[in-house]
Amino acid sequence: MQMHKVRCAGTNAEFLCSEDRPLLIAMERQAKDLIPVGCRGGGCGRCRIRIISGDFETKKMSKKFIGDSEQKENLTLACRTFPRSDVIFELRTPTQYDNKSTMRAGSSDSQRVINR
Amino acid sequence: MKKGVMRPGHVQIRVLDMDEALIHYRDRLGLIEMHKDSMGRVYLKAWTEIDKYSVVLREADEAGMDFMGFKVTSTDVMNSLRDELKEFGCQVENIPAGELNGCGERVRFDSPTGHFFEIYAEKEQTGKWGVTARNPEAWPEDLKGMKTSRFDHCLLYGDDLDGSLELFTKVLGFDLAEEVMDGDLRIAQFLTCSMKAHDIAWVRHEEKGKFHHASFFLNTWEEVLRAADLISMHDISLDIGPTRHGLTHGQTIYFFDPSGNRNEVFCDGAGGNYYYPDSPVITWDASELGKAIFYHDRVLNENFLGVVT
Ligand code: FES
Ligand SMILES: [Fe+2]
Repeated sequence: MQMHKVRCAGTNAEFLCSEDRPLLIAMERQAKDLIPVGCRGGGCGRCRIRIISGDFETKKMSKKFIGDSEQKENLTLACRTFPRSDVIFELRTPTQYDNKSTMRAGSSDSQRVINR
Repeated sequence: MKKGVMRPGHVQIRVLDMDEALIHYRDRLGLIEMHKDSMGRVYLKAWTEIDKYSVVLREADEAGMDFMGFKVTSTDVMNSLRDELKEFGCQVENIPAGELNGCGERVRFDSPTGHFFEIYAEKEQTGKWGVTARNPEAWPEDLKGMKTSRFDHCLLYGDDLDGSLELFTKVLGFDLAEEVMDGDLRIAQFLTCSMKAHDIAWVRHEEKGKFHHASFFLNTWEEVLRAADLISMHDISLDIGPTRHGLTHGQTIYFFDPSGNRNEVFCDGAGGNYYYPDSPVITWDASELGKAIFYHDRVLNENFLGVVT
């Protein structure tokens, strides 16, 4: 199986990915932390990236995060994306993941306390 | 006060690819495929359930939950609750009998947290799967995967927790069993309409109408560990576990279906987590949130809080 290099734009950080494995899963298996991991199923949008260069194929992804316009801009979900050449990407994490959930925000102090 | 709502009866889940979803829910969770309707929706049940199905999968462009349905004791109860739901201010829609295969008329309503729910009184009863109603054997031999025994509850994320609490307690007769309080702010609530520790739960979150997980019941910690083995064997996306919750003290593992919807399988491995109408509300302080959610790690996992469909 052919291996491709997957690199985060503007950095030297990269990992290898075979054609039959989603980018996100290959990244995790190599213990790299370049793309945020969520459901790994194309449903939550957490792993959204834009492919700046390179060829890729995708499986079905939630339209909520990859609509037709996003698709045209080469946005994709790393957990549903398979490389067909070396690939360079940038993060495009959806904005809802910047906002802390109320549960988290409301308890940020307490969380610090409970961390062992 | 009980108002005739018996139990969570079904959940309709949106999946991106039906074939992948079926392998997951049927062969891994061990639900039994019961029907496929003209819209392509697939109906499944857990083996101990007497009604024909509890999980309905619908292929769609987005993951998430369409609605959760509760079975009530009679059509009269459904009709009077319909009026009360309208009075409360819900948008109420009557869904005719048969829209879901084998299900009677349903009353669908929205909620302050943006989720859709239904009540219904009638559903075709096919009985427990694989055992007879007369002189039944203990369990059927040919169950698959995790062999989950029932659809148990859903946990939902949304903004107006107080509103949904009022709707479910005042109108539908649920009781608040457990809560997490951050000062005066209730950031999580676990409600029951039965003796179970929870039949539905919410966590406070900025966006309305989000789906955190659908949960399925197992009998023992050993079965939870066996589920964990199956999750590894089949490379299922793991969220966290096996571990124990502080809240409800259930022993649990969380994972995702192939469309990114979270599932839980759990057992109530502490012995004390049943509910009577006179049980006092159990309160967790936000300062103990890590332990409330994950009793062993005592630290929250970012994905458990943020990743929803
Ligand atoms: S991790 Fe959820 S969409 Fe990729
Ligand atoms: Fe749960």
